[in-house]
Amino acid sequence: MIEDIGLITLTIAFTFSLYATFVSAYGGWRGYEAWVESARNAVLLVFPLLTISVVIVVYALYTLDFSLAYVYDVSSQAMSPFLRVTALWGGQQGSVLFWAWMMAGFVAVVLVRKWERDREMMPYFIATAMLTTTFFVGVVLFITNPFMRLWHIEGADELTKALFQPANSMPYFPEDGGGLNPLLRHFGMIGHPPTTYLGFTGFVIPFSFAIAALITGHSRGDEWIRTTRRWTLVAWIFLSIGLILGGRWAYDVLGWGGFWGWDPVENAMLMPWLTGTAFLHSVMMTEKRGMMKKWNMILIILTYSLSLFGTFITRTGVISSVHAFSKSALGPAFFAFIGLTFLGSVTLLYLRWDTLKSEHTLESFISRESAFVLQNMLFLAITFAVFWGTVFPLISELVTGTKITVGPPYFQKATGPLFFVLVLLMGVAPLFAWRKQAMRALGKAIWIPFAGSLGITALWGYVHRMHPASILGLWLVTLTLSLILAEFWKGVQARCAARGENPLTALFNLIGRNHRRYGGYIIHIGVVLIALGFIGDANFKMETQGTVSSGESLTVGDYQLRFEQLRGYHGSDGREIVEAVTTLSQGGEAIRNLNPRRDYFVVQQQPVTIPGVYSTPGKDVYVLLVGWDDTGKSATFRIYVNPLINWVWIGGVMMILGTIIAAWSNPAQREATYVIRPEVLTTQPVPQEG
Amino acid sequence: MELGAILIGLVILILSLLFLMAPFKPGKRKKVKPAAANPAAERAAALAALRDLDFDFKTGKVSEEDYPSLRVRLLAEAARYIQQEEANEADIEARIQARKRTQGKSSTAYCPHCGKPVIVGDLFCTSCGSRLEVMTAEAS
Repeated sequence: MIEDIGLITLTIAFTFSLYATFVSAYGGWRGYEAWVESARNAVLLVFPLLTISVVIVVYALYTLDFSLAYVYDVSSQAMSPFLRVTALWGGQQGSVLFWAWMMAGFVAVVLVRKWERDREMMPYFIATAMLTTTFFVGVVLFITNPFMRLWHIEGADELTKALFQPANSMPYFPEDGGGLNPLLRHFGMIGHPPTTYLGFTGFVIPFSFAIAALITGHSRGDEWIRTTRRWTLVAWIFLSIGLILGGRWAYDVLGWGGFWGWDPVENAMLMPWLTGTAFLHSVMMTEKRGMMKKWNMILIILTYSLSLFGTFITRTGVISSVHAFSKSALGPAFFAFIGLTFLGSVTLLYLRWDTLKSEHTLESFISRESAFVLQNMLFLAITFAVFWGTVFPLISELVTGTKITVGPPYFQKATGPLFFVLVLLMGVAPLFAWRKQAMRALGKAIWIPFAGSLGITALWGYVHRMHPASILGLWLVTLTLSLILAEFWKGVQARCAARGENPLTALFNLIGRNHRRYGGYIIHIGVVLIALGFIGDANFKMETQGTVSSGESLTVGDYQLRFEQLRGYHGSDGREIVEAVTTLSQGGEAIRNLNPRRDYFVVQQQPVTIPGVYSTPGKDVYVLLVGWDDTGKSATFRIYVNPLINWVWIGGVMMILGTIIAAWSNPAQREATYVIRPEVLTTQPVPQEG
Repeated sequence: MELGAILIGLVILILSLLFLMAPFKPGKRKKVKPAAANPAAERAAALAALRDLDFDFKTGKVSEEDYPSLRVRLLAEAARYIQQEEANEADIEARIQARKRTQGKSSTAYCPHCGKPVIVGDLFCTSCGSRLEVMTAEAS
């Protein structure tokens, strides 16, 4: 019975979402306040209604109610309670419901917090955000419903999934379910999918405000940007965390020794992140100078469409095979919705193009403004390169009938140089002044970090002279990092001189007075550290593979791995585990026992390779058990030495820290006072304006 | 589908519909105040921009040629918002004073409809609720 209630609340939620979409748009258009209020109430109802549906699905997964097809597909008796709950987003039906639920939650929070402030934009904000929510709830209700049951139709070989009893059928209650895909049975399941979804859904909020601003003509000003700034940051950081956790998960579970493989699903997340990052920077130009309004709109529309596209790729599996597209109505539905919303937004943008006039023009090629334009172009170019590489297999299969996949080398060649310039810009651009940068002043600001980076790179290059290709990358990282640190240093110095603070207090106050700027710089440091991890991965990675008998060793670099024995045992979740006992030594001295293993999931007949990892800040030694002979006397290992990889995770933590600082409300701006000190007033005659 | 589920579903639906339709109730309509420009926020933004400019100048990011004209522009902007805010405050202050003056002579007027005393400047009679003609402070 309880599942029926879930289905009923889902149906009501769909009706109310649809109601909110149209009633708010109509109320806004005709100025009928009661209509808009009623739409708002509908939104406030959709979230709790969907919550009931979500809780009921989780309850069914937890209590193993196998009469539901979804529970039968993704849950099983062998799974731990933790994994049963996470199975909510472990399959298609549950994850689309989860998406819709988060989306409804975000919209409800906006309506509770911002209702009185942005009243004119609200009707259209509700309409846009709820249109998206309606689509997702509709997909859950009509296409991929988690409340479908299993039925056995007389004479049929296969079970039927349907909401209501088909003719000549009996309800079917299986003893046990198939259980979650073994690759998903990992602690990362708690982090990566929800954060990614929070990121995707979060970007719907600034998008909806952007559309509302375009409709109401508020796009002339920057209120919508101020309103959504924190939302954008929240969406962005969740997407960033999702990307980093996804990389970490791949590293721990997929067993290929890396963390980023330019896989379509990874790219699907990266693309909205790229345009979202560009948007996050681009809006600063509008706030500070009233410029780049058109850019902002284009970027947020792209981010929204790419977020939907990301969900589309992940959920339909269309890239791995075109045939997945027509297997269910999900593919065509997504395709149509992405197409319609994209065309609708672009048309609206075209109609409102005149409201987005810049308040100033670019005055100089070397200025903060032109740096922002350049960064937008770089982000867009990278997005396009990634997009092209991601959809190319699809296009080739459609056009020629043969699928041609482009591998990591394409992505590295196409995006590598662009990323290089982008990282360089990240170091240099904060030095540029608004309007016009005097070259002499720039040279003065740059030369010490520049000389320092050359020195460090020379030293570094000498140590790593076996890898000449890495030197340019290392120089880039050193230069950018020194430029950012020099920014902190200059700020600290200025405070020390002006207020007589000690350097530590000055640093603390510096960050405290301008959370946004210095939080941003800390994020930049995180990005540089991640770049360092990528450089290590591209240049210094070592790998070897070999079969050894008990007591023999394999050597890679200055590490030796000695194979002792194999052992087998039964694990949790219905897995059979074969584990190798090995000893890792460096220069003849034993440092660690490593136990790489192979877990075989009997029901799913699927093996999962779990590496044995020895991790230090400088490098990881990553050992995989690839195979063994039946007697257990010899085994095959693949060993990777991954230098600098841990900087990716450290960089990720820095990014999160920086975002928290940047999003924290600024006490200095809240008190809204600034003592204008006479000593900084210039002694030169002040030119009159105009 | 079981009857129990349908009944619970119906209860949820009816309660939801009541909430959904509440804004349409005749007495419930509220007037929306148009979003007023917020000089305090504008002033804060202008002052922050000024502070950033001074800081950028100190750390050498703004050239000596550009600094004075940029600063004058931002100072003028900040001053405009501060003046606006002060004007608003002065307006509020004047109203408070006017109100205070009328408070002392509260019974100098009478409602033309019910004859009960009213306070000068009130829009409605506190006894019978009928609309009063607006009397300014000097009328008393």
